[in-house]
Parts: sequence; structure tokens; C-alpha cells
Amino acid sequence: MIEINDLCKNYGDKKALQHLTLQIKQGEIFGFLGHNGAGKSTTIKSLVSIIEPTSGSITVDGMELKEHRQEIKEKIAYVPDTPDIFLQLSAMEYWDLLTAAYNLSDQDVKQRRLQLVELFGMGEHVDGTIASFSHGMRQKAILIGALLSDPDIWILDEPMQGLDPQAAHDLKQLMKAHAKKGKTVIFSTHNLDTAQQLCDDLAILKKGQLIYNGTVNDLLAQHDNESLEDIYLQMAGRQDGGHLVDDIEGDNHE
Amino acid sequence: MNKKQLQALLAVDLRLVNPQVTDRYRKKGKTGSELTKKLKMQFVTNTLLFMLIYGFTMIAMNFSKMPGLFTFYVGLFILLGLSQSISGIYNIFFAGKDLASYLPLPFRQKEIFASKILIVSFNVIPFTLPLLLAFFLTSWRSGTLLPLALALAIVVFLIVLTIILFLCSLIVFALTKTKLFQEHQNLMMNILMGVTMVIAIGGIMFMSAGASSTTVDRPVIQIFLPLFNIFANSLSMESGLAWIGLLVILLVLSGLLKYLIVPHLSEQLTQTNTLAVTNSKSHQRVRRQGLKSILDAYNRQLLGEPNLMLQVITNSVMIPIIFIISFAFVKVPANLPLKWSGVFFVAGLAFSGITINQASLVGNLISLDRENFEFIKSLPISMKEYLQRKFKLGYYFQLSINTIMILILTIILRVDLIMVLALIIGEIWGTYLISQHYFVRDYRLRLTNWTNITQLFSRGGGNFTMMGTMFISILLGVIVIVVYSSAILFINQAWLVNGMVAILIIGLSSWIWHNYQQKFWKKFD
Repeated sequence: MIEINDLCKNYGDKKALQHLTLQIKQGEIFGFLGHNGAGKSTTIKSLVSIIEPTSGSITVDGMELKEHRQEIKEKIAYVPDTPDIFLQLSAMEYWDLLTAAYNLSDQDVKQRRLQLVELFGMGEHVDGTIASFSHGMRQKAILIGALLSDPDIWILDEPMQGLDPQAAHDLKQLMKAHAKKGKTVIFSTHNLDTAQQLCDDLAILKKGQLIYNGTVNDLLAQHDNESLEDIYLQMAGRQDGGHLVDDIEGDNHE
Repeated sequence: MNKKQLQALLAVDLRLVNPQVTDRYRKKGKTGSELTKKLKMQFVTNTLLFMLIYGFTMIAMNFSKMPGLFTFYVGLFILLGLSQSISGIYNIFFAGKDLASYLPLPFRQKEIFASKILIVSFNVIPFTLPLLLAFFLTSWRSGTLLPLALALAIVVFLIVLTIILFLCSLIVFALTKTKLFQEHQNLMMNILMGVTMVIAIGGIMFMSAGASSTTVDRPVIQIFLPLFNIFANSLSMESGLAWIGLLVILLVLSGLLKYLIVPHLSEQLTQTNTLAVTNSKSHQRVRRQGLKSILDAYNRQLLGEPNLMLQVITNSVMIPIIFIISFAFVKVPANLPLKWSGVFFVAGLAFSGITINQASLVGNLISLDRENFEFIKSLPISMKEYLQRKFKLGYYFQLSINTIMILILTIILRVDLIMVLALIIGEIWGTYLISQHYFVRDYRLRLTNWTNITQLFSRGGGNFTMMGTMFISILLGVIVIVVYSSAILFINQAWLVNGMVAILIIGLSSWIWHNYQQKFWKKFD
């Protein structure tokens, strides 16, 4: 169980997160939705120790993150929003680095790595440097790395970006299967269909504030016969009636 | 210590600090642990090669009979080591753009510290190798058996290097914890490096005051005398006391690091990363004044990269000064006749060769663009003009540094005004030609995905190449100036000698200039 309690994060004068409080249960797929700058990545980066919140606390299985950073890091695998990390390493060297970081033996991960490499079609590229990969290939290399340790908590920041339809489909199946094993999957997305397909629970953020926390079904039930997109745009969107697009493109656009 | 984690981290860092060498080996099919082994071997080979090069110069000095000269050398290279360690530790631990990639991973703090400090040491060793050689030569010349002398020198060198690194770690880590630093990160680091540089240069000037010769000893610098005793009087009481002193300092610093710094490393790095994100201010808005001024403003903003300017100045000022003082003893007679102006012009050219290197601004301006460079290529603007504006910025910057240095040096050495003018004209031309070389080199080896400014400086053959080039430039410069001066001194028709040298310089310069025009600038027409 992850508990986020009264979390605030300021970047100078800008309030990126305001008093965020929510719980993420073990074994569920939890989604963060929100426009750019809503606070999704800030929440995720606080969870994975990349940034220090201004105030508030995060506990994982009863352990305070600030006090038990090492133990909590060992439970978490993270996929960043941009896959431009460790570019000088080959894919295999990157996976070796993660194997060492999570204190696993080559024997422990070999079978799993081979399966993941096959699933994502990376067989021919294992010795290529991450720098030489396309955006989608980098994303795949990082996804494989994150899954090597079979983490208790898998955190993905906008993971579908740049993936081809097959890889995106496979990733969704992996996320479901991972949660089915009793492990927690947390991700952020702009894709409402993905959120609807995957999330057991979701949080919608707007300008750093939590505006909805609950199941997708509850949300749909609260808004009779409306699509998730319509509901989301009503809650988090800009109320311009579409006239800005008309102004830019003329009113004959489709 | 988790050996597997340490090796994994070290393998990553070795690739990060040697991007070009890594690529070269990758093209030969090396990868994984095989590649790591090759990179380590490359470092060892470079070290040995460097020892040989330094050795040829230093072998003439009998340190065992000259404790003053020994302590002078030790002082010089310890100061250089301190300055390089402070910038290295800050760059590698705190200023890397890859910090956010490491933070979520469950590496243990001890391993992170050990791997990073080892990489800093790889960067510092090329600058401090003369210490090892001075230790070895002193011990050997004092009658210690060769293998014993070598072992003793290596052990003491490693202890001294560890003390330097630990001391600098304490300074940098303590400083980054203060509120003042956290609020003004870049400014504070620039002040620290600036102060280090001023202390180092001041120290060098202070130490070099007095005799400058390889045969007459200098005044002893007392603080480093215990080190001399370790090698010159190995079995004496003084040597024993020096050993105890060294070990006590090492233990105290290790204890302080172990209990005060390492246990809070992750916390401190997370805080630093948070501050870097929080404090990143939007750039000053550029008023629309046409493409040229916008590009100039953009280029100037690139210079705001943390640590860049002081590192550039350190490499252009401090290291050349240390090398000139160590390996070229300068004395300039007063009231020289006009026929000597050619020698000073050539000295100006040589001076540019020593001060401009792969860490100079002009040799890194293209790579500072990162991915923007590729994007700019797609824009409908003249790449030639874009690159020319960059080159001019780098050239004028280097020219200012070199001219100021020449003015200071010539005032100290009381050089005649006409000779100063000749020196400056030589330096203006030399800086132009050599800047072309490093600008084109930057384009050829350009790195767009660098995470740490140190990676840019260590492109090509790393710090060894930089030090080697500087060293060879000094040797060649000294040889050329000595030969030219002898010719002026001993050949009656000085105008003939000067004329021949002028023709040679004009010919060579035209060839170099034409070469860069044809092979580089013309590509962008």
C-alpha cells in the first residue's frame, strides 16, 4: 500500500502540487490523468526519489520514504517519461546495470530477459547503444530493464509514447498480468482509452490539485451516458467551445 | 562493499567519460565486460606512456639532492590536483544531467560514492602524475632498489591522491549542504572554483619566486618536507613520523567521509537534483532584433552551463602556467634590439599552442548546442554564418584570456614594449589558427547527448591527450625559440634569419588557413 499524504511541491512561486492525498492499494493498476503541467510527473518523480517534495509524506508498506529510501527503491522499478537515459550504454549493458542495482544474479534474470527481448522484438538490437535507437526502441529497452527485477511496484510515466501498436498492446497486457500477480502498477497517461482499459483506480489532477480519485466505473456512473473523454474534458479541460481552433484553421476544418 | 554494483557503476562511468574511445572499441565489436576491460587498459597504457614522457624531462633533475625543488614540484602538482578535484567532484556528483537517471535505482550509497570518486581520480591522475615521478626519482636517486622505489612511490602517490580527493569531497559536500549554496548553486560553485584557482595561481607565483633552474636548489617549502624525507631518508625517524602523519590525515578524512557524507549521499543528491529543477529560471527574454542578435544571445546563453566558464579559464590559464613554470624556465633580458621581435612573434604563436586546448571554449561551442545543432541544420538559415558567429565568440573569448595573460606575464618579466607588441601579434595570429583547429575538431567529434561537461573536455583521447599536447607544445615551442634565438645570436645577418622565418610562417599559415577554408568552411557554402 502506498499512502501519499498532504504532498506539496513548489517550483519557485509555481505550485506544482497542492495538498495531494491519496492511497494506492497493492495489486491495483492506478492511473494519473491530467493535462500537461497538472502535476502527474511531479507526483511520480517524488515517489521514485528523483525530487524531494516541499512538504507532506509518502509511505510505502508503512515505511516513510525519507527514512527508508534504499528499501523502498529496491521495491520500485521506474520508466521515465523520456527514454533518453544511459545513452552511451548498449541495451545489454543497461540491463546488466539494472541487474547489479537490484542485486540480482545473471542466472535470476536471464530467462526473463530473453522472454522480454523476444516479446518486444529487440533480439537484433541488444548490443546497439541506446543512443542509436529510435524513441520507441529506447522505450522498449527501458521497459525491459524495469521488468527484469519483477518489481513489487512498477511506476511508468507516460509509457505508451512512441511505442508501435503491437508494443503498446503487449505493454498493456504486461501491466495487467503484473497487477494480477498482486503487484502494483502506477502510470500516468494522456490516453483516455488506455486509462479506461487498464485502471482499477485513477486520479485526475488539474493545476496541481486532485479533482477526482476513484474507479473509472464510478466516474462513468456519476455522469450518465457520457464518454470518459467528455467527462475528462468537462473536469480538466479548457472551456473555449472550440472557437480557438476555428480561429486558427478557419471554420471549414475537420 | 558490493563489488558487483561497484563494477557496474564504474563500467557506466568509464563509458561516459570516454565517449569517443568507447565508440572506437564498439566499432571493433567490443561490448560489455570486454569493453570495460579495454577502457581500463587504455587508461593504464596512457598512464605509462605519460610517465615516460614526463620522465624524459624530469630525469635530469636530481631531486634527492634538492629538497627545495622536490617540495616545489610537489606543491605545484598538489595545487593542480586540488583544483581539478574540486571541479571534478562537483561535476561528477552534482552537475551531471544523468543524476535523475541514477536516483530511482537502488544502488547503495557506498558504491555510488566509490564509483564516482574513482572516476574523478581517473580525471585527476593525468594532472598529478609528475608527483608519482618525482617520488620515484627521489627514492631511486637516494639509493633505494628500483622495485622498492617504484612500490614506495606508488603507495605514497595513492595515499596523497586519496587525501586530495577526500579533502575536496568534504569541501564540496559540505558546501553543497549550506543554504547559501542551495540558493545560489552556480554562483557559489563559480566562487569556489575561482577562489581555488586564485589560491593555486597565487601559490604557484609564491613558490616560483626565487631561483629558476634545474641545477640550483630552491627554498624548501616546509609543509612538503616530510614527503621528501619518506623518499630521501627512508629509514630515518623523520620518515617514520611522515608516514604516521600521512596515515593519520588519511584516517581522519576517511572517518569524516564515512560518518558525515556517505550515509546521507542519496538524500543529498536528491536534494541537489530537486534544487536544480526548482531553481531553473526561464531565460531572459530576447528582444526581437533580427536573426543575428538572437543567435548571438542564444550562443551567450550556452555559456551559462554550470561550471563551464571557470573550467575553461582553469584549463586555459592555470594548467599552462604550471606547465610553463615546471618545464620551461623563462628569463628575458632587457633592452633587446628590434631584430629579436621575430622571436617574440614566434613565442606568441607558441603561447597560443599551449593555452588553447580541447577544453577551450572555442573547442566546445558546437557541442554545447546539444540536439539543437541538428535542429538548426533543418532551419532555412546559413549554417556557415551560424558557425562563423560561434567561432568568433570562441575566438574573441580565447584572445581576451591570452592577451590578458601575456600582459601580466610581460609586466612581471619586464619585457620591452616593442617585444610585447610582437608577442601579442603572434598570439593573435596563433590563437586564430589554433582556434580553427579546435573548432573543426569539435565539429568532427561533436557530442549532442552529453550529460556532463567533463565528457566534452575528455573527447578524443581524454585528459591524457590534453596534457600530452600541452607538454609537446611546450617542448616544441622551447626548441623552436632556442634554435631561433641562437640563430639571431650567432648569425650576423639577423634580417636573413628573420626573413626566412617570416617566409616559413607565412607559407605555413597560408597552408593551414587554406586547408580549413577548403575542408571545413567551404562545406557550408
